[in-house]
Amino acid sequence: MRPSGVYSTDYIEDQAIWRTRVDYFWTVFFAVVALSLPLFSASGVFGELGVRFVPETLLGILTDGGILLISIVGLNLLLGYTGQISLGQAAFMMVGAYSSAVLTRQASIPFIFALPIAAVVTGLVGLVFGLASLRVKGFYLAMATLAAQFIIPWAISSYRGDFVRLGGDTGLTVDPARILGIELNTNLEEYYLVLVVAIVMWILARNMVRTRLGRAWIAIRDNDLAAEQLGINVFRYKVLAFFMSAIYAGVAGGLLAHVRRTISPAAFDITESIEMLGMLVIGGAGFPLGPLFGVAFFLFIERWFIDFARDILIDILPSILTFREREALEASLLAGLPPLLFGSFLAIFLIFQPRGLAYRWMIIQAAWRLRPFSKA
Amino acid sequence: MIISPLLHVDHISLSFGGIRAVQNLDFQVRPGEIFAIIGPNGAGKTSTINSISGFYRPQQGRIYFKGQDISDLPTYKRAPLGIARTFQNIALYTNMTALDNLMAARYIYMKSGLFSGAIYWDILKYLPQSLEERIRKVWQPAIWEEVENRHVVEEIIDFLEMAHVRKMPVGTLAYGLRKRVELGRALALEPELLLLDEPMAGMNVEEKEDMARFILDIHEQRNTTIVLIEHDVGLVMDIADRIVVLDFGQKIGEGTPEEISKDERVIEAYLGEQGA
Repeated sequence: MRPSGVYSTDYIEDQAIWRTRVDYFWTVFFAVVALSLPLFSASGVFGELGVRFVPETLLGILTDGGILLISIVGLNLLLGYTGQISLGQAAFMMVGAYSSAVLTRQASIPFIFALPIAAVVTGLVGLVFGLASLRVKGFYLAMATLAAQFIIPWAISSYRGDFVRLGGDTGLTVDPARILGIELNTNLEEYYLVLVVAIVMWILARNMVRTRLGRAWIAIRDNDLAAEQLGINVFRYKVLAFFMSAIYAGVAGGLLAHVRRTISPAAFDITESIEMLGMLVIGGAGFPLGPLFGVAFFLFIERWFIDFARDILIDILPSILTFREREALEASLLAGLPPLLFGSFLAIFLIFQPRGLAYRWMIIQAAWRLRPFSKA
Repeated sequence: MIISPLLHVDHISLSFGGIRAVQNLDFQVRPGEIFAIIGPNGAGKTSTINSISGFYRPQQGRIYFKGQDISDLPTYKRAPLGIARTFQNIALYTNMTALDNLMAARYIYMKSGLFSGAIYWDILKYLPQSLEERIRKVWQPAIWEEVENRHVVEEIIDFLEMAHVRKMPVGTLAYGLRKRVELGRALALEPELLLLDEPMAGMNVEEKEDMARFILDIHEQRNTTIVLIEHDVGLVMDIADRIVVLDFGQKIGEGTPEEISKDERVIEAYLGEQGA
């Protein structure tokens, strides 16, 4: 909903993403914050001058978050807009990561070309698994895409051929990203790399869903029979959605490889796929801001709330335990708490806010604009 | 003078297992007429419309549109030929706004794909006119196409008097308005043949009158040929040029409203005796 008193005088203005001064203000505000944040870390310009209130670990967390965000924006195109489920997003990221790693190190292609090539390769792999969407929907499609999640890591870890080296179960070491001869190997540089790519990818996705392509996707999600009778080639657009979604996974995977510098099949297992799906649902599938909210919430839970919860639990552990017992219990808390918490939050969201945080945010915005007449 | 028919349903038969929904049905729709299909429930009216729009494939017979055999054409290729339809149970894209529903129907007139769509190019509006034209010549970003089609869609929104709901998700609209949005979506395809499956079902008298007015206006202003299924016989007699009556999948009568209202078999099967 638009705030009262905002009028458009032409359709271009009416269709723009940023409509009001408030929109511009927040965009500029967050852009400035995101861009200047690393300058205040230890390796930043201001950090070297002594103004360092941003810990290096925060940059690392945000970099990981940005990579996740790219992948989930892709998943949002598929699940949120086209209504096709995929449980293979981590496997597609794996294809992107390995392609980019192999292309840069073994084929000596510069990173700036290797990343798009890796993305397209991933897209094609995604397209192949998307072919299943011709015949099946919903749960059955989920099972069909689950095949990707099992086949791809298995294939990569058991490949022993000579054409490329994939490193089997141990994986590969990857060179840092190199753009125009500059090696991006500090937290700060990686942060900027991921930030720029994530912003570009987000804007591209945002544009896709507000033009012909996106409306065709949404039409398929909302009513595929009607879409077909109104001239949309449903199968083609479903496969295209799988392709695009995998391209996003490919870019995310490629970045991940060059940021982490080591990749192995274990890092892309089904838990990752399901977590990404969960983040999208919590954030709000089918909303442009959904992935952002989802990732932010996940990072908040994973990097802060879990430590907080663990400390509380450890504090209230009965003191009669021996040191050994206590240590074992702490270790099991460390392993068991993240999935337990994430699972419970997902369940809570599915019950109380099934359309996700982004939807709640829209309601809050609408209520704010209707004040003082709103009830929410 | 023989006018070549716009639509020729040539002896089609459609059955689902043992149920013969449509049997050997044959009729022609002339360009520019309002053609009504009436009959009791289960007579095969919707099956006929579904066969024309491609949702069902008749086992026998052919369907010709503008002289072209469309019986084997994939469903999605029929809309670009000039066939549009509405559905008996509203089949809108519920989470889209009314405006986007109509824009989604402009799909067949638009070209932008992955790249031109993804880039969109908002910045162009800040460029001077001359530079803008030059960019447009080389490469067509989605923004122009969006605006051009928006004009067409806004005209339809104006015509159907739904400007006040254009930015509302259609899922939140009242039933009568949703029917109207659906009609608008079909109109956005700028069809030559408009198939309306019970456009007035479940409406009150006022809404029905509005809808009848819209149908007549569409017919007059856009010269669209309309095939209409409707149960309100009085209304059909008023607005239709010709009527075909179905019962148990078979045609039991065809003609002008006057002819139909005197037809013995039609009276027996559907209309009932006068004063009975």
